[in-house]
Amino acid sequence: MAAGGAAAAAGASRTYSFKVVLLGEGCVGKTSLVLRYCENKFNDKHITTLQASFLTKKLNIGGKRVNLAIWDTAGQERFHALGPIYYRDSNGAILVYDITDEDSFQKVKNWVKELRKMLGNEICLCIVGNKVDLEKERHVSIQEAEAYAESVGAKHYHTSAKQNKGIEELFLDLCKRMIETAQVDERAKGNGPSQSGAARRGVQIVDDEPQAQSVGGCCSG
Amino acid sequence: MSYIPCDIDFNFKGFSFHQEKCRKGCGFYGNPIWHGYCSRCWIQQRQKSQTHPLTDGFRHHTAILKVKPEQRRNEDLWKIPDTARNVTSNDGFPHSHITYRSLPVADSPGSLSLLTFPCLHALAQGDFSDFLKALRRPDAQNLMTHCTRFIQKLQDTEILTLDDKGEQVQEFYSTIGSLYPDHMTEEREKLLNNIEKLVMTRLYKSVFCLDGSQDEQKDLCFQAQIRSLVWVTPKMLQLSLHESNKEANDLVLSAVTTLVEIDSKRAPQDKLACVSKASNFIFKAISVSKIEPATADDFLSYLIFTILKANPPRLLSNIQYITRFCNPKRLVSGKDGYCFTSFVSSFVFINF
Repeated sequence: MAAGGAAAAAGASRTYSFKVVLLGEGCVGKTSLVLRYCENKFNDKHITTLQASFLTKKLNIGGKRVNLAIWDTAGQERFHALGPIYYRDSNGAILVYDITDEDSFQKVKNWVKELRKMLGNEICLCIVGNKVDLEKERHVSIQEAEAYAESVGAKHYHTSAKQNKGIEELFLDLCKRMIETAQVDERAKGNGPSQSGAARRGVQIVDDEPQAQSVGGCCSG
Repeated sequence: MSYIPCDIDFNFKGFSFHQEKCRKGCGFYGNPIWHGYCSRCWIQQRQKSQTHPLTDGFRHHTAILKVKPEQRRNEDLWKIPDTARNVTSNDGFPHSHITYRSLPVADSPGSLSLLTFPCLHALAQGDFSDFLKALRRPDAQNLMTHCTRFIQKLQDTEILTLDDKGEQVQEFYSTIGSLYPDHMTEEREKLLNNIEKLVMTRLYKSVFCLDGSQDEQKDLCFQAQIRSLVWVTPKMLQLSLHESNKEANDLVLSAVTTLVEIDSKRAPQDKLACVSKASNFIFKAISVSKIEPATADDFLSYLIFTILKANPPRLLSNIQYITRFCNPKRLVSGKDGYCFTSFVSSFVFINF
């Protein structure tokens, strides 16, 4: 699968386009998290955007331009089976749970299993314990969560959308990891920046058959 | 009713460039900058194309097509298939027996590579009508001939399945896309969109929901199923939509009308634009009936409700048509991509 970042060389600097899916149960604060990041607002009357389901953000990380597209996914149980349609071709996934809600952490575990099964190791996973401002009501232990994240090759973050804690770091870190993955991918294809000629066909949105089948298989109820 | 989702092809074919060996099969490695040929074959190929600029790459094929270049220039673009048939009866062109066998699209890189930089630039300016004007430039003739031949070829073949045709069209897009260097990404997308519109408007009848095909049956079946779900209310789908909220209801109604319009558009991008337009109406409807911005759950629920109310004609065929023939970049990225993904998800959800 060549979803590894549609990177187009523009002269010396490059622009990476990444798709990041946002997964997590209904009330874990996914929307607040992403609105805080893109609009720097929390439960604000002045939120200008009509919707928080598809947001974009442009970044410049060490001279590398990144266009980030954040896709919210439906978290309700009834929509669970539709997940594969959303997260196909994504470069990163942010899996959010509520530290006061044990169930939401279990849900994250299920998502991780599914993502690894469908997309393999090419996708950068972030497990995010949100609502750290409610530390007193914590139900998911820090050790457990971090150990789990490590065991599945994901990074763990603590955030609070309310207090604007840890969110910038989360996205910045994720972007850096996705750039790395994309570069490794390019090098593997011999499509590195040094060969500007070969890189002229840089945009890659290829999908392979096995994945398509697995999506189909999942959707047949 | 599980068979319908299985049949949707989610495989957005895209730009695939993993060709390693030379396309001529000489055993050496090919290079994308030489259109997949090795250096030697590419030089040969180019020499050939310089001697016969218009016929390069077609000479060894088998079906008969005679082209008179002077005539091509004056052709009305919108009459491509007819005129293309006419030119076969014309004589006077030096290579009157140019033959081609089921024309692998990428087989004429020589003629396309003759497109000059200013020409490529001009083709990617302005809207679709500007594109059509630019296509009449003398130096854009190669591209026009390339498109005409491709359209003709796909219309003539009957053995290919629609999936195969989709693949060929995608391959065709990527051949044209590869003409642009990397820093011209914007121009490339613009030209590809115009090419898509041009080619698919012509091909529409031969690839969309053919009479008596299985797709037609499935469409009818699906439409009947939606009709049987007429009793679903906003409350059942947990929508925040109340009957008393006239503004929201009007917006949903606009979304319904827009979804019905999908079937009347020909180019995949126009169909896709309908999906996005309907989505925008839905986002507005949510915003007037709810304080917080719409989440994916809200959006999907509203979209499902809108589809149930709209019961868009030939829904499955339209979705398949878009996935097969749309410029793949639009389907997987950007807001259009998100809206379409949600649209497909809603469709799958209704079919469970």
